Amino acid sequence: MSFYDLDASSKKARAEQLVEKDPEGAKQLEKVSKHSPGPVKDEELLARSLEYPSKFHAEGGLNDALFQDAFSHGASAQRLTNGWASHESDVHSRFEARAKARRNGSSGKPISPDFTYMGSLHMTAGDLRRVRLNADDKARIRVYDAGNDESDSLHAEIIIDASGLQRQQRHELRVRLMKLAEQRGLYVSPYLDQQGLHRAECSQCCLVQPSATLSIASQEGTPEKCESKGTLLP
Amino acid sequence: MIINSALSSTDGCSYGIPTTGLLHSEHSSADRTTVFVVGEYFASASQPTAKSNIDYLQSPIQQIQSLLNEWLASFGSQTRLQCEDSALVVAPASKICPEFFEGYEPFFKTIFLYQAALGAPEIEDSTPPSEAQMNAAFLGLANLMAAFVPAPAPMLLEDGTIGGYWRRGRCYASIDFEVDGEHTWVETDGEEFKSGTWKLPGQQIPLPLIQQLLTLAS
Repeated sequence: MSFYDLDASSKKARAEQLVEKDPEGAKQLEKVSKHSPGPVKDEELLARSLEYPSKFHAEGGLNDALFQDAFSHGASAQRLTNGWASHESDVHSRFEARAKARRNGSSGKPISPDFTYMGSLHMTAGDLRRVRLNADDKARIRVYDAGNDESDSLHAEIIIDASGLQRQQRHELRVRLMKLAEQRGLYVSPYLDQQGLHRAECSQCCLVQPSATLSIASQEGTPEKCESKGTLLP
Repeated sequence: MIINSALSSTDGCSYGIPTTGLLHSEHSSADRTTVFVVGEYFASASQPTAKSNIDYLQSPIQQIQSLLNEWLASFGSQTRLQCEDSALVVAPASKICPEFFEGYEPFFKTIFLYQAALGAPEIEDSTPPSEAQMNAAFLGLANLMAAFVPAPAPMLLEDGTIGGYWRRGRCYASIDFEVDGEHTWVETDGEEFKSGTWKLPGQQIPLPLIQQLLTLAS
């Protein structure tokens, strides 16, 4: 029985059930399947998809709803085990494919025509695990290997242990995670059209352009090369 | 609707536009002589309504505007307010800047659209905001208007809670408008994080929060 096999009849949120199954977070040290490279190490870089409009309001920029699903269902991320340069193409295309499925309704969820993959935000597993609240020394953020499927072997899940936390502390955790996620900038999707690029600029994140080989990739009906006015990071 | 904001001599001075910079939690001697001028506050009933796509038959913004005007008018034109460490002079009130209210319209529009969209059976898997959640947000927004805080951007949480946030550079602040009125807030300058609750009705905007909001607006 997998760690991720949960009681379907439970009214508790999935994240809460996982925390109850693993109160000390020890499962973070386990390899979840033969497909995955193993438990997520602290030094591993993770990529989290930024999507419009579900996690981001264009006029106001990035907000702390970014990690709210880490309290409920679990926040997905892709492991960049060999660094961004090695995984850039795959991660962008994977996140874009997911967004496209939301746009055309093939994801199993209702059609969301405006759903757009904006880019990815990066942080290390160790950075996440080291996040602490004021006056609370407990490690609240878990990063689990979630590479159950061969087709998604670098999948990781971020789960928050919110047991005993007051609402304001949960809120503070959301803000801390958002601030952490924006530190390395937004690695802009090569699939954005001009409107999407404008929205990316409105995120108020430092923008990191896609590499040259990707920036001319499958932009449907938008032949222009991506040009961002955002700040470039090395 | 209740707008429970009151000018008070406690917790510093949350209302009015500081003419000499921002509020500080530790008041310096210079702050003691700071004069806050309240002016250009009123939007009269005869004033043209702002252009927007909001249906004012449904939106509470007109009601909030009227209530705020009545509330501000009750202070008259020669009101002097004395706090523990500063004197406030309320200048003759005239009209509130219409653009100030207009600044809040996108927020209202977004949450109305959000509620309408999520109320449809086939859109998104989040919970649409309930009437109680909408009302909690309206009351919070009305109190932000009363404190002349620039409009936040809307933040829509998956349980239907409506939040608002402000960001500028490394600084960030957000509020979750909770149905029980215990609105949680968090603010950061990118280094330090502060959080707390703002109880409505009953409390003024917490001082650390209003300081950060004024910083973000400056």
